[in-house]
Amino acid sequence: ANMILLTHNMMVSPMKEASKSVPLKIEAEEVQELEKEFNLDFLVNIIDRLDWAGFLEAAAILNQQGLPSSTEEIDKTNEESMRKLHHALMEVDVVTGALVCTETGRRFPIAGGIPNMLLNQDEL
Amino acid sequence: YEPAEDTFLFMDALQEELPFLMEREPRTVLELGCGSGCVTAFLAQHLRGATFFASDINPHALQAARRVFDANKVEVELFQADLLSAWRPRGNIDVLLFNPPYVPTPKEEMTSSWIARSWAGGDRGREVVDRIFPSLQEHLSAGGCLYMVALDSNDPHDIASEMSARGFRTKVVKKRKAGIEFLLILKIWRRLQA
Repeated sequence: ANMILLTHNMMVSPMKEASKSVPLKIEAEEVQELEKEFNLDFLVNIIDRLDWAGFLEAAAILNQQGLPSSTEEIDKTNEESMRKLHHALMEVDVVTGALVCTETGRRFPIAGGIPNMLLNQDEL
Repeated sequence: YEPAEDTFLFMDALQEELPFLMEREPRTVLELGCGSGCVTAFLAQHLRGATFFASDINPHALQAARRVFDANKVEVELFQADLLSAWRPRGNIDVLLFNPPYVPTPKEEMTSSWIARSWAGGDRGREVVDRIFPSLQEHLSAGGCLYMVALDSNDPHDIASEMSARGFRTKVVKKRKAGIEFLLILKIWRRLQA
């Protein structure tokens, strides 16, 4: 398992020059879909923690369509749309690829579902 | 990489903190320097409704943690990073867990090997853990808390006053004698505004 879009949304470029407020760009090579337990309560609460624009951008890269374009449009009583959101946020795993710092161009590789966010000696 | 005394103390403390934690309904739990992942695996089995994240700087630790999570049938999002350097500072963390390298050592020992990195804490055993305190305000959610392992030698009163100046309360939630030292589990959480 790993890395899901929820995790991507929690992360940021560790580069000194990066602003800490811009999402990393996903490059996806191998992607898996892995079922996770649907928890409406969790979903409803986590939405406020997300950078929604960053999430939509990343979801699009992973071919997840039909998501609400803003959090105001989310209808938590609509089970079908909440399950779609759950799927995009929690069930699409980037196994191989990279997270790219768009401000510096630095690529952080993802292998075995684990992003390696360590800086090199000369970047410290 | 077998769990040690401090891991068991940490797990015992978290077990006792479960009522407090469950009442807070945490959504995000992150363990820094997760090592073999035992602490996160334990909490993930007892705390529902949260997503668990775990990171370590050591790739071998991450592989070991993955095996522990799979064996315990818990889902944990893993990533390799240096403390909170790659975590977005948006008050996203409800429960932060850290068993840091806490042994007082000369500075050079801190980077002498992967294993040394897991216990060598430099001056007063504080050089690693001190790096997370300044940004805790930006990382912990309003109701968020940090649980961490410390030694008496790490000067917990100093940690408490540093964190108090930042609006946090500190409490020793568990204590155990370990050789000639005392191992402590500290809980650090926001002082509520009146």
